[in-house]
Amino acid sequence: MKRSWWKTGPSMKHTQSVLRPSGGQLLRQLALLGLILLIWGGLLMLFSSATGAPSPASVAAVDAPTPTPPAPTSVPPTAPTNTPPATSPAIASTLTTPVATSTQVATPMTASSPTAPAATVTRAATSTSAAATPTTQAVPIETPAATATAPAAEPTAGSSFSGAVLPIFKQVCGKCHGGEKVEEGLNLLSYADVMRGSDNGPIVVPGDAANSLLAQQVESGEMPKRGPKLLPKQIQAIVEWINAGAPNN
Amino acid sequence: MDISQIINAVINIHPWHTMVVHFPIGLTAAGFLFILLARWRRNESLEHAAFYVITLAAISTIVAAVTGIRDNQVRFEGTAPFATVKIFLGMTLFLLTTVMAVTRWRRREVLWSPATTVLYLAGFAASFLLAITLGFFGGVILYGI
Repeated sequence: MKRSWWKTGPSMKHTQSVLRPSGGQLLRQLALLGLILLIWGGLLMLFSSATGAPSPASVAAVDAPTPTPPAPTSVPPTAPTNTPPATSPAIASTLTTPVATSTQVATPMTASSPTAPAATVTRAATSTSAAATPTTQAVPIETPAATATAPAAEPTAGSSFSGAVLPIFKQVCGKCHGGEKVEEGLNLLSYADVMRGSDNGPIVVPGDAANSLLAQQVESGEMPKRGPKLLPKQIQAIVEWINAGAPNN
Repeated sequence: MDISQIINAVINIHPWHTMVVHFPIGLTAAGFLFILLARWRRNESLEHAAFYVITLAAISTIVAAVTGIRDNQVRFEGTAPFATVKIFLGMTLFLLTTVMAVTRWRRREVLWSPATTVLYLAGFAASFLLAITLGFFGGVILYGI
C-alpha cells in the first residue's frame, strides 16, 4: 500500500493566520447549505408519503404532550377482588400448599368481623389433581366457608396480578394483545380476558405454570414476538402468579 | 448450554443493532467536538482526528444499517416502527459522512479554506444531529414514547 493512501497530507501550520470567510463566501455557503436542506427535506417528505411512514416532525409533535406510562406500583387494583389481602394473618396461618383451581366463586362480603374477607372467599374445587387439594391446614379458621375452600398460597408481591403482572402485560404485550389489536383473540389487559384465553384455548392453568401456555411462551422467548423480550424478573413474576393459583389480586 | 445454542443465540436471537448503533452516535459526536476544537484552536492534529473519526463513523453506519435490517427481520418480523424513516435517515447519514470523509481525503485544506469551512463544519453538525435522531427513534422502539 502506498503511503499516500492513508497519509493525510503534509503538515500544515495554521497557527499564524486562518482566513475568515468573506461576506460573499459565507453567503454562498449558507445558500448552498439551505439548498441541500431543502432538497433533503423534500426527499424526506416524498419518502414518507410514498411509504406511509410518519415523518420525524410529526413524531416529535406527538411525543411532546404524551405523558409517561404509569409505574407498575401506581396501577390501581382491578374491580372487586375475591382474594384476601396479602397480609391477611388468617390465610398465612391456614394454608401452606398452593391450590390449583380454575374458577373462583366470590360470595358477598359480610364485613361483620375482621376475618370476614378471608372467610367469605370460596373457590370451586373443579380440579381433580392432587395439587388442587389443600394438604396442610395448620390452624383451622372458625368461619365454615373458609375451612372448606380457601385461596391458594400466601400471595407475594410477585404473585400480584394488578401489581406485578398486569403492568407487564400493559407495557409489553398490550400492543398486540389488547386495545385495538387483539391477535389470536387474546386480550391481556384484564383479568377476565387473560383467564378466558385465546382462540386456541386457555393460556393459564392456575397453580401450574409448567403447563400454562403463557408461561411456556414467555420462558422460551417465543413471546413477545416483536420487540425486546421479557426480563427474567418479569418472567418470574408471571410464573409466580400462575403458581400461586393465578389469583385476581 | 451447548455450543449450538450459543451460536443460534448469536446468529438468530440476539439483537446486534442495539450494540452497534452506539458507534456512529459516539463517533459523530466526537468528530463534531474535534472539528470545533480544531477550528477554534487552529490545531492540525485535532482536524486529523476529526477526519479519521468521521471516516470510522461512515464505516460503522454501514454496520449499524445491516444489523438494523437484520434485527428488523429477526425480532420484529419486518414490522419495526419507524423502520422506513430510519432507513432514510441512515442512508443520509452514510452519504453525508462518506462525502465528508472523501472530500477531506481529496482536499485536506477543506476546513481551513474560507470557501468551504462553513459547509464542512455544518456537515459535522448535521451528521451528529442525524445520528442522535436515529438514536431517538431507536429509543422509542425499545422503550416507547
